[in-house]
Amino acid sequence: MNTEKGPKWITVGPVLLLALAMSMLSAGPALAQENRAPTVLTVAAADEFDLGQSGLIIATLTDKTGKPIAGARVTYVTPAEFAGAVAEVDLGESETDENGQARLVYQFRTEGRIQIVARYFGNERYQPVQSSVAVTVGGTAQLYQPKAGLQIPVFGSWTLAAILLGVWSVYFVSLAVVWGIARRPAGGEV
Amino acid sequence: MTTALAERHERLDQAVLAPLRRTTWRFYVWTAFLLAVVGWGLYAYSVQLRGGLAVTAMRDKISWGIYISSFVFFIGISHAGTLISAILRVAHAPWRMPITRMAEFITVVALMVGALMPLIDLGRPDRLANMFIFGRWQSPLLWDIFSISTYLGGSMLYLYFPLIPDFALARDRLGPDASPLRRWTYTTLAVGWRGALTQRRRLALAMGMMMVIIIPVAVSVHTVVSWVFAMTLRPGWNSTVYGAYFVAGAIFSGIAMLLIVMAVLRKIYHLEEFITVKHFRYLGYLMGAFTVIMVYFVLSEYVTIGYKLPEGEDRLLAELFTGRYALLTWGYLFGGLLVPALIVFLPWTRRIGLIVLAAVLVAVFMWIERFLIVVPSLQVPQMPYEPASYFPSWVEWSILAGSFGLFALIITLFSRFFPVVSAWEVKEQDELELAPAHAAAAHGTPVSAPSPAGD
Repeated sequence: MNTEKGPKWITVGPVLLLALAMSMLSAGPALAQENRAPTVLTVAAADEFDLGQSGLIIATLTDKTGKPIAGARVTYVTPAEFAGAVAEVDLGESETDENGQARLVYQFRTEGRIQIVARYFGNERYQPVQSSVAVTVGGTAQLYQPKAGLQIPVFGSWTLAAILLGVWSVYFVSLAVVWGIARRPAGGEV
Repeated sequence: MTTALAERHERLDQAVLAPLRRTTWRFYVWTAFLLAVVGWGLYAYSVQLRGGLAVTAMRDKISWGIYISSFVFFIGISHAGTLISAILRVAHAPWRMPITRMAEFITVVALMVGALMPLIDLGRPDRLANMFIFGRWQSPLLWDIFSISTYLGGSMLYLYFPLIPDFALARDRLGPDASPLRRWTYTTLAVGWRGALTQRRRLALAMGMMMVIIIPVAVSVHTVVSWVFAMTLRPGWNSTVYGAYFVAGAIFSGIAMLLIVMAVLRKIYHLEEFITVKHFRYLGYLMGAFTVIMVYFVLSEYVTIGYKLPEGEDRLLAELFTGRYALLTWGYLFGGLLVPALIVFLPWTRRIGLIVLAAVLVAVFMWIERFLIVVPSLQVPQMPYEPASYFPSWVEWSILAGSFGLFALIITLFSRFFPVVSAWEVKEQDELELAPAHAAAAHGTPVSAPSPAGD
């Protein structure tokens, strides 16, 4: 039996204060979020691209009422997998104009179905938002062009073929000359 | 034609046709030995085909070894024919006549054997087709294929054209000493040669065209071979002088090989009257001149590398001059360059035996030099790993021996069935040089018969 009976508010009070502080800390962002205006982000791009082709991706950022949000930074990423690891590959960034549109020109260097995610991270006024679009990239273009190597203007690799052809022509001409030896000398001349 | 000259020419014909007429037991013993060596090389190759390149000492870090070293070596000695037969022909050097045939067939045989080495190094020979199916015009390897095949084609023509009158000689003079098949072969290959003026003009025209075209082709071949290395960024290989360095080394080793073959065939087929000490001395002088050129290139290459010491080159120089390859490097510098130069430049050592010894030293150490080009550079790590080591396996040594055996075998068989001296050219040169003197002698002015010693 507890013989010391103090007032209950001495032990309960700090606990209540601590709980209140923790709930306010965790609720802070949520409260702030609730204070920020919701946003809407749409992403548009053509359905299909050729391998190596540059395409325009347009992200439109508005508030809930449809009013465009200018000066906002939109980030573009695409999910990718490499050697079993999955991550997001940065495609680029752009800023929204007065119409709320952020434009990115991107050269597609991988073929297949590509998911493009546009993301707005928000600020003190607007909530973050993201949206995505899928495009199909097809084709068999050779994108890598090495700078090093023998680059002969105009004729290119045909120069080598021309040299070889010239040399072998001399061989065949000389062979033809020798073949004429097989003809009998006229009148038995020696 | 005076009697002395006619007798000399008759002796020449007999000497040239003698190997075609009869075969001694020594020939069969020697051929059997070479066949055994080649056979052992073929067995080793079959082991490699079954087990893959894992039976060699080549791995991912050192992917080229003695096969590629030998490839470069054999392509190099093929330049003997171009130098002696073509360049000296263009220069109208008369002393070359008795040795042009040997030089020309060394070229053809060396090219044939050398071209096999990359195929052996490839592992799976069927992958050679990929070079044509997927070959890139930007690749020095593809340039190599085209340049070597072009050079081989030209060399075969350049060997054949001067043989035509000698085929006719064999057709006309061998008689029952040759089998019907051989007589038919000589008759066919002689393409109706009768020595007519129009025929001589045609032959001279064809040979003139070939002697002019074969020189740039030969220079381009070894330049392209050098570019297989120089077009990379490896320490030791990344050099702008490799083209000239390789061509000079090719001519250098080609002269040495010609001296060796000349000495052997001269001894075996008793050609002392026609291949004299003069030929050995003149070739020795050429070899000595190229020794100086090679020393210059070695200095030029390593002094510039040593002065700048780019990344990786310091390690290469250390390995070459003080490390695991020091013995080979210094051996090459002294045994392959200094000693042969002393032999040919000092008057009291300028004898056939010592000149041939110098040639042997040059040939051996030039093979080592090719090895020093290929392997040490591959040992310099390109990433942070421990350097690998390389010592050829028994398979590689056996195939190497087989390749040299094949080289010697083809030359042996060639000398048995084809004239090793261009008799008609020697006769023509004799008539140009000696006939006026003998004609004067016939009118009363004393003159001596042609000296067997040459000069």
